[in-house]
Amino acid sequence: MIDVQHRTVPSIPSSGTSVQPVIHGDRPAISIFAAPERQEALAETLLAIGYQAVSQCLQANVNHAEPLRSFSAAVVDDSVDNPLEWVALNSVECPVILVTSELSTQSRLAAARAGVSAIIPKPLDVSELAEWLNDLVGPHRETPLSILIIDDDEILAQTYASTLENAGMRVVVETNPSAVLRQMTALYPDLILMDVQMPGIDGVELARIIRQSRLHLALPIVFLSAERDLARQLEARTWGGDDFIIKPIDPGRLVSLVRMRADRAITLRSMMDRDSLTGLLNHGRFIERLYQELERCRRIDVEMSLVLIDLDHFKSINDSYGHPSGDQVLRTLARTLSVGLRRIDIIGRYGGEEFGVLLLDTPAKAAFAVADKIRQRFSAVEFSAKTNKFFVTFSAGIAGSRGHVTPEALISSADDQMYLAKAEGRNRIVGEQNG
Amino acid sequence: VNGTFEIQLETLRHKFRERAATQSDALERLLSDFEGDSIRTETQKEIQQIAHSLAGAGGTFGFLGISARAAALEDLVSEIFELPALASACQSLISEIRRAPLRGND
Repeated sequence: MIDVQHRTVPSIPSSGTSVQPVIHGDRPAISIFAAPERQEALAETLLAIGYQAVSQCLQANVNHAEPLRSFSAAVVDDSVDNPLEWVALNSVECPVILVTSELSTQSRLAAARAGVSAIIPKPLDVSELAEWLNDLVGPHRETPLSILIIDDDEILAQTYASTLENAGMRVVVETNPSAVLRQMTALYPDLILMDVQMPGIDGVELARIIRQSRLHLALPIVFLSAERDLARQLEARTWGGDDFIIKPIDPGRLVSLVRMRADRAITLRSMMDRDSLTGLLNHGRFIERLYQELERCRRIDVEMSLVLIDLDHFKSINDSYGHPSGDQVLRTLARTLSVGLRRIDIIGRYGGEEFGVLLLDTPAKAAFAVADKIRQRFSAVEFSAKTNKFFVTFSAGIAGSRGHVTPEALISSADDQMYLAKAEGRNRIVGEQNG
Repeated sequence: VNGTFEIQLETLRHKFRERAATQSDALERLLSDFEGDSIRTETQKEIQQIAHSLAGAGGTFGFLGISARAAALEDLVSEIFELPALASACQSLISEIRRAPLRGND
């Protein structure tokens, strides 16, 4: 029995007062069942996509396995004997993913009857596994929807707030319309629920003011109103209202409408800002953030690091194994970065096979340690295409914000270090400190 | 959690009921302000605000009768109206509020 759980990453030596990046968060534990020669690769893969894996053996005696209840999911490889027999006994305890080459309708039916939640064909596509686990275990960074309610009627506002809070949302009530803009900058709500008729200012005017800021262009505004006048409703929509709920309001309808609107806005916003293949920030948004963060570093005198990552021999992966395999590599690196870094760090797809990372409040030396851990972890992920198995590496260059006044200079320095890493033989990190 | 939510809603419903009683008293005072065949703009505006508030909130707490009568009054006071018609709409809303049970769903 190989216990991969103990492979925690050593902590990064602290330097100065800056916040140190943490590699491990609260990772869901996944139980894996595979023939001994498959265990290590499967465990490495799970580790890279953000889970901790515990290999268990089920040949000898089922009772020796740790109770599955303590795991978020189980991954069963068909290299073990009679996998379905075991699944049938244990699938009530947690969701089970079966990795198999038996894909006939008959075998799928047998798997479904045994209680298998998902079947992944062999050879294993890492991103398919990641997506299934995400579905079954749930995203590990789920944050509740944040709603701002603007209504001068405090009793009504509190009623909406209680209703939405009861449905798991985070709600702030503002009964003074003129304080709204201040709330907006402090809160970044996912949706605004607003009364139309308020003393002093009218909801439609307020929506126009909110829409004047580019930051809030995509923020959904839902009007609550006793307004029965269709012409007024139309006017409200013209000026940026996304929906209209007529009072009296049914709590169930309120919850589902708010959730639907907010979810859709979040998806849209993320489509505008993010690269569709990897889910990371696109080039434009990444550069925009780099400018903002560099400005922040100047203002409050802290240091951040820019890491530019470029996959090694990416073209030959596409050429030898096809573009779907190339995409799988890109998605896996994106995920390895997302789970290996802190929430505050900023990750973008910088170019085709190039990725950019901003490690906030992190000097270049500490950034090197973080990047190198990720490099090691990524290089251990086994990819497969048809009958081939392969590994992929990357090279990266690091530049610290202290030495560079302009964003252009910072980018250019990180770029220089990255080419140095390529020239020195690839699969390595070069930083200004050690380069 | 659900229990707490129910208690919160009941408290808010109770607050609404109290406020509606105050609003109904205010309406009654305003009614006595009517002089002959004219009505002050101030009075008209106050009636409109009370009616608007009750039309919106009443139904949310299950007082559909209050909502309906308040909406009718709001529509009336926002347009050209005959004073006796307005007085009778006010009166109808006042008695609906007095009749409404402390718990909603009438």
